[in-house]
Amino acid sequence: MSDLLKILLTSHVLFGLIGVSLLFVLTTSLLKINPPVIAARRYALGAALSFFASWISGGMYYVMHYGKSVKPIILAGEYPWAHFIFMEAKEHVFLFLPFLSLALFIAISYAKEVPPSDTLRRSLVMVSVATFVIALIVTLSGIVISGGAR
Amino acid sequence: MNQKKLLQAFSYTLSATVTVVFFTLITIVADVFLPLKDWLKLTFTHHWIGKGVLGFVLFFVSAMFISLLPLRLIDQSLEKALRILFWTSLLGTLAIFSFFTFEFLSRLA
Amino acid sequence: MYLTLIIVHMIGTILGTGGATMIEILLAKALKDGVVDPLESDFLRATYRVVRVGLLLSVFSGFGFLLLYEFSGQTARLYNPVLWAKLTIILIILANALLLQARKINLFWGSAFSFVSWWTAVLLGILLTNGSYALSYPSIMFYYLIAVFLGAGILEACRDALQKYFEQHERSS
Repeated sequence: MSDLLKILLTSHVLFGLIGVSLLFVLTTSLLKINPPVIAARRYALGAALSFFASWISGGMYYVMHYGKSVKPIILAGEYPWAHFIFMEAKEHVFLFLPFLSLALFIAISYAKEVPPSDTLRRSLVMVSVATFVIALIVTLSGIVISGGAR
Repeated sequence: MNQKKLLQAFSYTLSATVTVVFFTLITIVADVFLPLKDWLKLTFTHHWIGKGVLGFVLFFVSAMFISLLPLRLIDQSLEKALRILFWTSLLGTLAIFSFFTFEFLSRLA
Repeated sequence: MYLTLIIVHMIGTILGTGGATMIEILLAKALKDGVVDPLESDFLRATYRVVRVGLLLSVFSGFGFLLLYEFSGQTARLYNPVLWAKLTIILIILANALLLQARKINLFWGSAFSFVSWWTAVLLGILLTNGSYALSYPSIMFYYLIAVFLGAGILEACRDALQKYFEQHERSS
């Protein structure tokens, strides 16, 4: 693997992890009885930007390298389901994350202007948890896919 | 000011739902109806790039159209829109994973 | 690179496991009179923050190892059942933290899951380094759950013993 591809893959993983971490911190913030709305807004924006960065770096790695070099190895090996199920699903489910995070950022921006009601806070927690869980599924899928390439 | 922010929040929450539904549908349909996948490849050099670009545009365009709705229709509905987004995102994830699992198992049979 | 990751991972583990252990000690001391006062709450909050920093360092450096395996052609290690058990336990630590924050889990189980999970992650990390692949995922998770049940009982017994000692000490003075 060339240095550029290593940088792209590392960036994809790193930005993805930053996004997941920010979603975790966002969720714990929103779960407080008096959530720190200004900080929560920053976490959501940070997560959205991280996922966009992960999208670009991962996309470049995927288009430049995965399709022609990694996918054939997985398909020819003992774990073709690593591509057929996990890669195929992951590359599409990942696309949810930047938009879910961006929607959270904009919704929390409104919550910053008014004291958020308990119902609004709970709804924000639900979306934050869903986004966090989806991001975890995507992350774990990435490990499964890499493990299938041998 | 609050009404404007509320409208923005509602529009983007709903447009995120629309985008998630779009990604779910185009993922499944493009795999079943191959001319769509071929068109995406031809237009955007790669089907996945095409889905991403279309989804990105749809997110902002649909938010713009939703924001044209009269304010009286969206009052108090942000919580509902967030809950719809919650369920849509989880169901979309389940649908995509289930679809590819089913496709793989059909391949084996 | 490998050495850097080991150092960062060790620091994360020490902060996380040490912090989780300190939380149990601080909680036992705080609850000996049945009430967590503001100063005790402040100490606990600071310790939670240390644990979170430890978790962050551990997770990021942990993924650094996974990337190193990818780059050095050791991708078979990514299917190691001990690794997947460790990943599951990290997920349990995260879920437990959210449940505790949301007050959806009581202290009895919350502290047991936290304490046992961190120490199990340490043990699994040692096993991973020694290349012990003989353990299956179901067996590791089975022993882990037993440890959680035992840990919950032991931690509660420690808190009760401390409370009784405090009550006796109060009566005699």
